[in-house]
Amino acid sequence: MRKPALFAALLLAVAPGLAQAAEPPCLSAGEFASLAGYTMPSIISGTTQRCATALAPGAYLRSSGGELSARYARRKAGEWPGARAAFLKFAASSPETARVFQAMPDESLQKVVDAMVEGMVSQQIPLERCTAIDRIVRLLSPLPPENTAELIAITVGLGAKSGGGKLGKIGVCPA
Amino acid sequence: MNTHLFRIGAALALCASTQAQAAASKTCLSNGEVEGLVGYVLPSVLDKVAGSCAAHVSRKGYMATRLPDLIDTIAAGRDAAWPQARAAFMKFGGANDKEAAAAFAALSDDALRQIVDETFAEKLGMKVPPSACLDVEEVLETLEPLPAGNAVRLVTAVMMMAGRSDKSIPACPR
Repeated sequence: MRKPALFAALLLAVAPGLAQAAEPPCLSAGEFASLAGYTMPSIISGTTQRCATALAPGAYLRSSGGELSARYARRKAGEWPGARAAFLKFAASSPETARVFQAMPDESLQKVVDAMVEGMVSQQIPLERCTAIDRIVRLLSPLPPENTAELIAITVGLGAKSGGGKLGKIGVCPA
Repeated sequence: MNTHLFRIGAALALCASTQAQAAASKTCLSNGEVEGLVGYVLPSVLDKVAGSCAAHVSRKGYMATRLPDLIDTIAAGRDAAWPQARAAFMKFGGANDKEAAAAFAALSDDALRQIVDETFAEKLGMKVPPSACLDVEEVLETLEPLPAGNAVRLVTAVMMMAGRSDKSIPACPR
């Protein structure tokens, strides 16, 4: 598949399966960190798109979001095996959908994951939060990407210990 | 401590432990005031966290070996942070007690700083449960590459964001 529209169609086809699936299994902190590391470029670009109209012209994401996303993207290949395993584990709660994903070649599955994450982010971020998010992203930008992914995993993991560690439907197993 | 100072100290201590009072006030803290507050008290808070966790983390780990450098770096900015921190304390301490507010305003910087150091910072110096020390160390170590100024502004940004969605923290609306 080459066109984003086809991936969007595929997502629409499998999304009902995911939506109706049983509660997805939780991920280990390591699996979550891999998924976070792999998806960071999509998260950044989704946030940049979503917030483009809500941010001032000089905002960090508007001026440097693309560069930041590209910096994080350099790690995607290395993170993919762990992210793939985590994603398939997450998707396993819907057996039919999981079978579709498992049968996909890596390149196709990567595009599905990228589009899904970017779409989720760009739809769900409240516009009134964009300025605060922009500030936090700018302040965290000196961190090496692996630290950022770990920070997200730790934060969600800590939330799991207190019973609320989830990012969307993806949760980290209590340690 | 004379009566005025005691009163102010009590007001500060109460405000530090009773967020509802802040919510009841009509004053709010600006981003600059919160940043000043964070820059001023963060070294004390981190120092107390490190102290309460000392027995529960590795002596060769981040908290024991490198956190003191971060504390020193942030502490070097305390004088610069003070004017904004003072403004924030004035709002805190005087929000519900006009007499305390008047006493606040009459205090010299040195006297006010002494009270703040002895009461407010003490109250904020939360005791970390031993079971959480390794988590805290992991988070702090992950953030280690950030310049100290970013760390202060990051805590500020999180507090402001929390304050705008949780009305118990009196962050000014944007």
